[in-house]
Amino acid sequence: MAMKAEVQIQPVREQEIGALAEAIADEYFPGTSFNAEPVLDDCAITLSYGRYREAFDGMLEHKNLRFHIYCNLDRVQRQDSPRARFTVAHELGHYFIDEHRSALASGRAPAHPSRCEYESTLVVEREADHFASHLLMPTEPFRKLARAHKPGLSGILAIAEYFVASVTSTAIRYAKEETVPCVVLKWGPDGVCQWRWISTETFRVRLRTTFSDQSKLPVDCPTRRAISGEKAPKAGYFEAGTTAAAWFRFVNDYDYRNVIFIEQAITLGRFGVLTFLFPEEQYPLFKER
Amino acid sequence: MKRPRQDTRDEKEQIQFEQDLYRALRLEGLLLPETEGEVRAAEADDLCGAPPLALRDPRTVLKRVRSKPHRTSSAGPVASPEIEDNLARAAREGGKIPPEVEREMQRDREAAERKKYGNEG
Repeated sequence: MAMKAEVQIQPVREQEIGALAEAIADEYFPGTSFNAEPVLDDCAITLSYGRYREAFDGMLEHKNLRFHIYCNLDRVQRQDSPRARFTVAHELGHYFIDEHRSALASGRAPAHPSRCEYESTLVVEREADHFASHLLMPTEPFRKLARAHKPGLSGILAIAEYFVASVTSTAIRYAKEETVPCVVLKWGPDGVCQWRWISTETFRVRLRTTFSDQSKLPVDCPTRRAISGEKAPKAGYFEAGTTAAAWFRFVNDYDYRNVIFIEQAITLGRFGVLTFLFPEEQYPLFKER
Repeated sequence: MKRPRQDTRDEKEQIQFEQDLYRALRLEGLLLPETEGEVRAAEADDLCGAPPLALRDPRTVLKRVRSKPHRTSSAGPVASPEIEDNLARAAREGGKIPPEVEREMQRDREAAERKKYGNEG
């Protein structure tokens, strides 16, 4: 289980939502990548892409006994972009999760503009994000791909490409699947840390609180280089060795937890920078996978 | 003579209790017969009468076991005040949609519905 401090979905609930999404993937596009069309057709949901400024990524609206999804191209860029796919999958999550659909259809809850990809800290949004993650990236093929690639951003980029998913959602899923003990941090374009996901194993060894101010990090570290807008190397991301003490609070130089980590950082364009931290090798500190 | 230790006595009582409980459940017909003799006795008592129609064809049963999780398309009775509050909060916290954008959204929705349902939409 990966975690972010503010929001926690109950593990049983999370499992149920993931299973529901994967059953739908299996029913409508078995063995292939996410395709919204047959789902929308079957459920009589209409969809429109439009330029709706900055207010939201997507929205599920119930009116006259019908559901409609709006997808905002001003935020997700193209209809086939990874973020657009995640947004549509997220809105389908609001439809397929019984409590969400029921509340919307009954009028007890109004339609709401969604900010997808783990930007919101509300449980309902996290549940829809979790649904989208499993609809786009079913567990079995995800794990198979994760095992087949080198740990870190190179593997994450390969998985994201395979599923036509965004780097952010793939990295979070990578942490949640406990592929390696790791931390994923998202920095806004202003260089402020917006959120972080810590894998259970990293959390278990009490590497829990990272520095959230980039000025506390080494000047030439990959994260600061990416935030500064420096051109990324050929691989598409910056990479360097670092230490736990450089990233985690309450870990001093002589601490047994001060192991060597690999720090990788990738720019997400207007959405900021993503940092991926994982131990350089299988230290005894961490349980063997 | 040495007295038996307390934990040995507890263990014996536990075993006796489990045997009594098992017998009582069996007598009340609350356990499924397992051995050949038990099945014969149950059949004699007509506890294993013909199964309901829906269960007579094994293919029907297998189909149900292998079927996908059920989903509903109506509003349904599922209610969760917590989720409703959360959705309402999401609506409050979501970005403000300017009226002209709302109008555009409405137009887009109508166009999509016309395309899908024709004039009935």
